[in-house]
Amino acid sequence: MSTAATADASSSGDTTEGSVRLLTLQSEDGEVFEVKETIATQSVTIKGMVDDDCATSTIPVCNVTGRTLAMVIEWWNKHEIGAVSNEKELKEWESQFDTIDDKSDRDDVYDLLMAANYLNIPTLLDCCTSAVAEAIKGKSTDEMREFFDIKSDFDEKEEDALRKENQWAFEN
Amino acid sequence: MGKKNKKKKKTQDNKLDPACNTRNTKNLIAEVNMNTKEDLVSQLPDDILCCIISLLPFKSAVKTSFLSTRWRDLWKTNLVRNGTKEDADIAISSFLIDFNDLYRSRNIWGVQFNFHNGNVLLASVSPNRKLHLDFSTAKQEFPRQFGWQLDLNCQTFMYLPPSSTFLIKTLHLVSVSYHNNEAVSSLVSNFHFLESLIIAKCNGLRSLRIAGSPILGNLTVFDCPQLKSLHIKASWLHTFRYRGVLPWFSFEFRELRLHDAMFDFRKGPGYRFANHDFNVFLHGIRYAKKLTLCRWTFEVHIYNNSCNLYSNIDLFMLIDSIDV
Repeated sequence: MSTAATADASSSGDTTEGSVRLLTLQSEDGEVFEVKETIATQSVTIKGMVDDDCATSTIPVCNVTGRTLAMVIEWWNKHEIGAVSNEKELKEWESQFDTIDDKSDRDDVYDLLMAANYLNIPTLLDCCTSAVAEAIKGKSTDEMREFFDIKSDFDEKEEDALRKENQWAFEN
Repeated sequence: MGKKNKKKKKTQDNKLDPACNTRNTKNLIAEVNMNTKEDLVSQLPDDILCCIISLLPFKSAVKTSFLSTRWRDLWKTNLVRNGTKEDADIAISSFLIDFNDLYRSRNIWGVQFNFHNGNVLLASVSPNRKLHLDFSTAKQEFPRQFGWQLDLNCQTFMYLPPSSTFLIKTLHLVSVSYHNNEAVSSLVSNFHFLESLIIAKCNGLRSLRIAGSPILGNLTVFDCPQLKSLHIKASWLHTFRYRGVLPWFSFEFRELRLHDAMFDFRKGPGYRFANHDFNVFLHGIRYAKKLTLCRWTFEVHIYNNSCNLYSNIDLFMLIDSIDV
C-alpha cells in the first residue's frame, strides 16, 4: 500500500528532489511521509498552507493514521496528471474504493472519509461518499443500523411519532 | 472515544520506545472495535453524512431519519434555505417547475425554507409524483382563524401542459394557515391531474370548501382542530377519510358513490351540534359501499339516537381509531 510513501523520521521541513519540492506529512500515530508538493496540493487544505507559505516544517495530519495516510498518498499518485494513461484505467483503479464488501472495507472507507474531509480532497470525498451511499441504498432501516453498527437512541414513542411524521414518503 | 485514547497512548509509547510495532496497536484497535461495535459513521461530520444522504434514492434518504437522533433531521439539511416569504415563493415555484429534471439528475427531492420569524416550509416531491407541502409554525401563539375555499382545476386537456410539474398526482398539505392559504390555493389550481388530496393539521381553519376535479378520487382531512364546517363538491370521489372534531358536513353532488369512507369523530362535535345533524351526515354518505366509523361515534350518535344506517353498505366496520 505505502510504496509511494517514504518514511523518514529524521526529516523535517521542506526538502527538494530535483526541482520538485517535497513536503513532510506526519500522521496522528507518528508516521512520517515525504510527498511531492505537486501531488500533495490535491488537498485543498495543504494547497492553502503552501500558498500561505506555512508548509515549511512538518505538517501534522491530525486524526489520520499512517495506514490511511499511505492510502491517501496512493490516491494522489494515481490522480496526478499523467499518472495513468486514460480515464478508463483510473476508473478501474478507483473501483477498489467504491465497493464495500465487508466491515473492514467499511472501516477503511470511514478512515478515508475522515482524511478526505480533513485534508479537503474533493475527488476522494466523492468516491467514498458514493461508496457508502451505494452500500446502504435500498436497505431497510434495520439493515442500515446493522451495516453501520448504529444503536437507536429513540424510545418507542419517539420512533413511532417520527415514523408517522414521515409516513407520507412511503405511501404510493 | 476509547479508540482515540488508545491511539494517543500509542503515540506517547512511540516516543518512549521507537521499536514499538505500530501494526500490533492497530490490530488491538481493530479488535476493540470489533468487540464494542463502535458506531463510527455517526462520528463523521454533518457535511459528509449529508453528502452521503444526498446520493440516496428518496425513500432510503427518509429512512436514515429513523436510525438515531443524530440522523433524524440530516436528510432535510440539503434542502434548507433561509429567507423571506417572497424568496420562498420564487424558490418553490422554480423547484416545482424544474423538479423532474433535478430529481433525475441530482436526486434533489425538495426544498426547506426557514423564515426569519421561525416558521418553516418544507416542500418535497417523492418519485411517485407526490408533492408534500408542510408549513410548520414555530410559534405556538393562538392561530388566526380563516375560511378556505380550495378549487381544484376542472379543465380537461387535449394535450399535456408544457411542464411535467403539473402532472403531480398526490398533494399532501400540512399546517396551512391564515397567512398562506391563498398562495396554496393558487398553486393548487395549477395541478390538472390531482387524484389524491390530503389536508392535515391546519390550525385556525374554521371552514373548508373543496371543489374537486373530475379525477379527484381520494380525499383525506385529518386533525384540523377548529374545523366547524366542511363542504365538499367532488362527484368522482371514491375514498374519503376524516379524523378530528365533528364539523357540519355538507355534500354538493347528485350521487356520491363512495367506495370507502372512514370517519373518526372521537374528539366530539366542533360546533353546536344537534342529533338531527348526524342523520343529515349519514344521508350524505348513503351510497358508501364500505363505511368505517370509530366505535365512539357509533355508540353515541347511532345506537343511542336510533339514527339510520343505510342498507346498501356492503361492509360496516367499527374501529377504535384511524391511524395515518
